[in-house]
Amino acid sequence: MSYIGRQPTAAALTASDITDGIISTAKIAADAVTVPKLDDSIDHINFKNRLINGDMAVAQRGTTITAPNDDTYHLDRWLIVSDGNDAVDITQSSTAPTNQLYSCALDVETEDKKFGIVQFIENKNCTGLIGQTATLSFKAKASAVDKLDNVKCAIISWSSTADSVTSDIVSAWGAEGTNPTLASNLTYENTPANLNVTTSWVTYSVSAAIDTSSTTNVAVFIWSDVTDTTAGQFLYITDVQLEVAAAASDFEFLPYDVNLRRCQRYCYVVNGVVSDETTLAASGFATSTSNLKISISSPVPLRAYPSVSEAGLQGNVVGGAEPVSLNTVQDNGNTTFSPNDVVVNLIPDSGTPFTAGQSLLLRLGNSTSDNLKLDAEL
Amino acid sequence: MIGSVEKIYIEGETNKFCFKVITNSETWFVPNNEANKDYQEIQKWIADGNTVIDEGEN
Repeated sequence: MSYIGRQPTAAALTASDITDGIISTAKIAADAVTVPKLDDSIDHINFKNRLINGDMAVAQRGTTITAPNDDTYHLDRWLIVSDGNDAVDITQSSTAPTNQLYSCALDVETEDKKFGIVQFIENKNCTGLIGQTATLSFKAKASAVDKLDNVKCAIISWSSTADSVTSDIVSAWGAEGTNPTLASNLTYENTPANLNVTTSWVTYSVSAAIDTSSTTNVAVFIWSDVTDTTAGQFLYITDVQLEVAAAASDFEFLPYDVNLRRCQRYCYVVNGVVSDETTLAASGFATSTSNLKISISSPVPLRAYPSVSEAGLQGNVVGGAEPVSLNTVQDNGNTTFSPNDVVVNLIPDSGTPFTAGQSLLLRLGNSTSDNLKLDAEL
Repeated sequence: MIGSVEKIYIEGETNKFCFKVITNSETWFVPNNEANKDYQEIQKWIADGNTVIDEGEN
């Protein structure tokens, strides 16, 4: 009788027993090597994390969001959902785990309200995720756990029209410790339970099969399930990852520029600079004395034709700058097109200062609150 | 949360429009495009019994 490695004894096999050449690659079952078994140096399989900005590094809308409404985007790709408005203030916090720069800090403002953060994954990026077992992992801690003592997380499926999700995912928040009731077509894929978050950074994870019929989008939800919170207490969250795996692996770090570009598919913000009115937002021409047609170029194709907002825009022609305001955003009418160029019409804040056919530059004023925003979120 | 929605017609384009949406903190211009999330929100807002302001095309 022959043996692999050594003749079996009462002692367990060790790595040194498996000598080179005796167990070949062909003899290893295809599913025997799982991601957690890979060495740390090689387990950063590209884009294993289906979430974007899981390390909270990108904050195009600002690093501090005060008194946000329920169902509002804050740090890029992340939504706040809460039992009413202004449940928390949100900051991109430098309170972070070792070797990490940022976390999402949720600062309780309105006491006794549940709150959480949500990210929906675009349908095109759910390929190979739906129908699989996935693991959600993240790092979290609280400033105190006398009240913030019940934090939960969930992998959620959306089973209706792709990318037409109900972003305000909660229809009823329920009593303390009772999982919130989700809006129609949303399903918890795991059974959420208290993670017993502490005042130190700890990695938490849940795994679940994403097996709800007709799922088209997947979301993650991390929330405080407490209804007796104290103002000024913080919940910190970072390194959020959703991967196709039965167990969590290390958080996948992406270079900031890659992270930013991925976020800009969903939101693109140009901000003004203090004492500098040269921040160029776009260029275009006057169609009449009182209308400008401008093409705004985004750095990456947007997910969908965006909504547009602005503050502090000026139309610059030879001879001076005229304050202008958005009037309309044009739509090419093609719902499958990912636009790089967004056409808007602007009108002067007063008078008829332009000449038809005149070319011009659109720039922002000299305040950081001056901005141009394109929003193509889910 | 949507406060009001107004249909704004695009100058020089026949029967083309977008929506001017005023929330309690911001003003957004939303394309007439069903892939846009704010457009989807407007449709839900209308289904809830609200009315879009439409002063017609000039």
